Amino acid sequence: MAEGRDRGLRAARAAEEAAFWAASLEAELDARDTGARIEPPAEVRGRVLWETRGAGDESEARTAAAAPPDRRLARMFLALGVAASLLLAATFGALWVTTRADLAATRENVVRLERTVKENEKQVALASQEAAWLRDPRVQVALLKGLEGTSTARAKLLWNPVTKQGILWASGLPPLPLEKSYELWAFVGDQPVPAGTFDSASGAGTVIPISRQETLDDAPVKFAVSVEPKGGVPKPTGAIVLVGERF
Amino acid sequence: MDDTGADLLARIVAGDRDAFGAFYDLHAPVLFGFCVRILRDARDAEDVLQETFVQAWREARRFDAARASVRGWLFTIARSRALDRWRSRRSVEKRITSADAPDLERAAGAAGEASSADVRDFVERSLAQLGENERAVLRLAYFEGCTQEEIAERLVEPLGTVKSRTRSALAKLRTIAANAQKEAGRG
Repeated sequence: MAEGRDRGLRAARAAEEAAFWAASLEAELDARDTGARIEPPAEVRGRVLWETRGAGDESEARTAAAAPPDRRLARMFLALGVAASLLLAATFGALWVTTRADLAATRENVVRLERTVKENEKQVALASQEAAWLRDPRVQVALLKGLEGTSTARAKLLWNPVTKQGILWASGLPPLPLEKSYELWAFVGDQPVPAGTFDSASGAGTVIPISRQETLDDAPVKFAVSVEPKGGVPKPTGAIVLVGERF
Repeated sequence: MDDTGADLLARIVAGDRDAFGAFYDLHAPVLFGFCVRILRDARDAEDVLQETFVQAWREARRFDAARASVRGWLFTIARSRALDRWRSRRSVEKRITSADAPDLERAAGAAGEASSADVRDFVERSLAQLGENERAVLRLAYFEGCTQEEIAERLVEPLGTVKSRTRSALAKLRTIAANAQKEAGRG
């Protein structure tokens, strides 16, 4: 039974990854057709140039080595070469090669470590955020489950009724067309109150902060997520994809 | 074929760092827009953009103008790096989500993770459900990593025809994938 469930999960993950691949190729076609642009922050350019600095030096060195040698310099080096002992030259040559190789390896390691540190920082930030919410005794937890058609979707909502803010972890939701977004609803009694919108990252898990909801005077007991026009609507109009109560 | 930036790339191969700066300025905004759209996270998009250009610098001499346009080549790198980032992010988020969901989510740990063979197998089976023309373009795109220009050349078809065929095939593949996810959820 466990084996069957594992096979089912692997099939779902494979389909999810194939969907992401398809979405990325579609996005590439759109980007190449429309030329849609978003200016990246200036510091990214700086990081790219810094990270390629070492490799650039090597390229320049290779280019210089490929250029025709200066005849006067060549004669001078030849004279020096005769004067110096062959053993010394070989020793320095070997040392130079070793040092270059070490330097290149060190650069690669630094780049790799920087990536790891960045990834770890992100994970620590996520974990800290979650821990801060979980430590707060006022925070209530609700688990939301998918309905027919989105049965693999899951979400966990941490809700602070005092600050009227929340944080939602959602996964398994299908990607939406650009003109649609998911909308979170908080139920006060039987009345749904809009509590923020979010987009799904092509079916992958998504962490969504829910900003302060001034219109929520009473603590909600039930939550739901529906598919709505981009930007959200005051009352639900689309299909409910997730629902659950706090406990 | 669109050869925007090809002259800059030739200078980059020679180690010209000014050319690399101009190359970044030329292509980064379109690639960043693409990364933001598929990753839906500005910080991840920045990281992927950075990785894309660093890889482009290191592998500039491998670029073959006969196989792809400069922009197509850059997009191929960016999509590959974005997929890596998506997998990594999914792994982190899955761990957080499963922290106190005892049944299904926790079971979806290492044991439920799809291997690349699973994904290839899924795509292979999905392609069998497409028409011959659509199957041909997606097979070249997925299994051989061909750009749209390469596919057009291999199939001896106009680039526009290949693009529209690819779009249609991708829409069907996404529907098949969505149905497969639902099916797995029921099973």
